[in-house]
Amino acid sequence: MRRDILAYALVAGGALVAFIACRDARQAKQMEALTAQVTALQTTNERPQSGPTVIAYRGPTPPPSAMDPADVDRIAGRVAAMMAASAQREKSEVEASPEQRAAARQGVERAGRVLDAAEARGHLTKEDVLQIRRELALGATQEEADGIGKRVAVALNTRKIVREDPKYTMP
Amino acid sequence: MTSGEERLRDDEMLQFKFSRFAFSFAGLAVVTISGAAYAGYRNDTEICHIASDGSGYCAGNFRAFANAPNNGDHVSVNVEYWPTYTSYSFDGSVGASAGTCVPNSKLQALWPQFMAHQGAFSIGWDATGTCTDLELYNASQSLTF
Repeated sequence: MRRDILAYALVAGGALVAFIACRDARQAKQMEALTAQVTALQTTNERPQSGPTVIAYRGPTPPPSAMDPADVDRIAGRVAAMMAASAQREKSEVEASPEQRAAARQGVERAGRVLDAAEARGHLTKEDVLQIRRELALGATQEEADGIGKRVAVALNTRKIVREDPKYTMP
Repeated sequence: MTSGEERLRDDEMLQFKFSRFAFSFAGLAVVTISGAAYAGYRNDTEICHIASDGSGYCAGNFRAFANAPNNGDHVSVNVEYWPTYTSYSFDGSVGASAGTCVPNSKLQALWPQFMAHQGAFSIGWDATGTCTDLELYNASQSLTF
């Protein structure tokens, strides 16, 4: 009887020891898995700090330009040419000697007479316009050239003259 | 020419309308209706008028003058550079109404802008052949390109 009780006690104790051993092993595996996850998370968080920081800003897409770049260049070219011509004109006006100015005035007067003759004929020819341009090229100022141009405009607008070639209208 | 007769009108979309001209009657209904229904609406206009004293005006957009059924209709904005002066001029005609002018000094400064303009415009001149007023409109319905 005692032997039986002792045998039962030994079996029960062995089973208890085996149960505890299995539970510890399972907990150890879970602990290892958790440790691995924590390590992985730490590695992920540290990755951006390990290399150079790159910030990619993606703002709104710029609107398409309203003007073609070629048009912008064309306008800029014209403005530059006008500024250069204006500077040259001012320089010429400043540097013109009294003799040059007198010659320029005489040229403007002759240009006016060419226009008088055209009005008398009622016809403005290409040669008339070329002659007017030659006379004004002797040094006419902007104001003088505008004056001749306005005379041409008035003659056309009031039907006093008919032009031969629209390309040769203004001085 | 009185410059105040052409007006830029701001509805739901920018509307360009010459209020003085009879041609606008047909388009009046279109102009006054909500713009939301008229995306892509085009308004091609060409007109020149000259009075007995030689004063006058031209208005419209370049596309309309270029596509006019009358081959003589045109507008041109010109500049020629000479050694001591620069020749500026405007020239336009619609049918028998033709006019030419030389801009005053203020408009001469705006001439490059006028030459590059692709929308609608209105230009007027007086009896001395001087271009005295210039109005430029950038309206979607009038753009040349």
